[in-house]
Amino acid sequence: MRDRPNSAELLEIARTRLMEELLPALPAENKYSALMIAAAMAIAMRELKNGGAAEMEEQFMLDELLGADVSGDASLLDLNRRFAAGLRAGEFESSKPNQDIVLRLLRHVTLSKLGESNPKYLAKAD
Amino acid sequence: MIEIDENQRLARFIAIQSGAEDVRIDRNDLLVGGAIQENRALDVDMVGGGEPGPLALVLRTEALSSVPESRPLDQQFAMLSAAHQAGVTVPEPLWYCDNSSVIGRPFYIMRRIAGEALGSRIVRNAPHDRLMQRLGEELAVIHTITPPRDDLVFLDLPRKGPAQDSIVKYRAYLDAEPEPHPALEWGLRWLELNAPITAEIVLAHHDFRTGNYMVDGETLTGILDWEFAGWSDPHEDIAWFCAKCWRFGSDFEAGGIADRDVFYDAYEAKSGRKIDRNVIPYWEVMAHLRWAVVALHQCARHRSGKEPSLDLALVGRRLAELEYEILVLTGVM
Repeated sequence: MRDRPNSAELLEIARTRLMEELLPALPAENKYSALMIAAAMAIAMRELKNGGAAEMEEQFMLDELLGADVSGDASLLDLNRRFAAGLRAGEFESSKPNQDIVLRLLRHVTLSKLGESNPKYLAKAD
Repeated sequence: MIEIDENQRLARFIAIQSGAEDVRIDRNDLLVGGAIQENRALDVDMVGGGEPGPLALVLRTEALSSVPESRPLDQQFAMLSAAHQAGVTVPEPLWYCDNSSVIGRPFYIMRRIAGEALGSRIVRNAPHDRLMQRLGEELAVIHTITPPRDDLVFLDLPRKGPAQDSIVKYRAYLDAEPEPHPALEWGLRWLELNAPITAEIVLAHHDFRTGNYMVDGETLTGILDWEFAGWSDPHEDIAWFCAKCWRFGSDFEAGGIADRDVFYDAYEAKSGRKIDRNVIPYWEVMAHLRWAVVALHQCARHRSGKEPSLDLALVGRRLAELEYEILVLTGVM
């Protein structure tokens, strides 16, 4: 078992030091870089905190849409390849249950990605 | 052997092109801000010739890796010249050098215009109605350039239609990506099913947005960045300007600087063309798709290892915002 603090906790406290101690002391031309670094750390931090729950949900919905015979042991990447190709070909447009899963999937994946990469954007959009 | 440095070769090039007796270069500095192009500020002193005295110039070269669709320098120069002749407010293009003998690669020189282009700063004190009107008029002037044009023969006319051609192109980009992008595929399929009929083909700037024009106080001093221009539907430029991804966080829907009506009215008054309000949302979906493809391309430059960059890496993570807007505009959210 690894020791605490864990990776998300380490990133969080490192980012706090960057923002509170280094950023105010930096000359103007370096502040942008520091903010970019802080943004990258925040994304990684949120991803680590969330773990794999959203991707498990995504996999579950993809299984439902594509059928267990197609999905089987397929990876999330393979399932998404299949999903993307199906969308392009208009495959899910003829059945109402499939259309519903497609919309739920698109919403779920985009919202969970946005929640990690830019939660402020989501807050402003609501 | 006498070493001749770059500035001396450049001075000689300018003298020959301009007909000046002598040219002295007082400043040659890299300007920051161009992600694709490298711009240098030149201050030169012209002796004799048609325009003696000090001259403020910009020298533009191609940076090492470029975005797909970015046109080569000679074509950019031709498009900038066409825009200047049509009466668009642009930095006046002066001379193009097609070889590497002067500074090691091709370049062109244009007049330097005053002002700033930083989008986040320009939207800060919005609304800027007068500026918006000027921009609406400028876009109308850009759209007076129509095919066929002998000086723009390198621009392909749409085959199936500007929307259909873009869909084919963006799908090809996605096919070259290592990962699939279902939300973008959804958007492209929606664009395929809902494509409008294009009534008119004009020269579309293809990057006409806040951040790509120069403002000095409240005065518009120039429309920049012509490297993506091509024949298209005029609504594509209008929607690109208004798309949410180019508002820099401002609530004003026209480029973050004004209400749409101010933009539309000025454009319609100057062009005599009626904007079809119903097709603008369609082209806004296209705008977000296009930005998403460019973002993927920029991120790929980082991921390839050839150009490791935190900025390029973070662009890859903006994809979710663009997908979100595509889903909102297509009724999924």
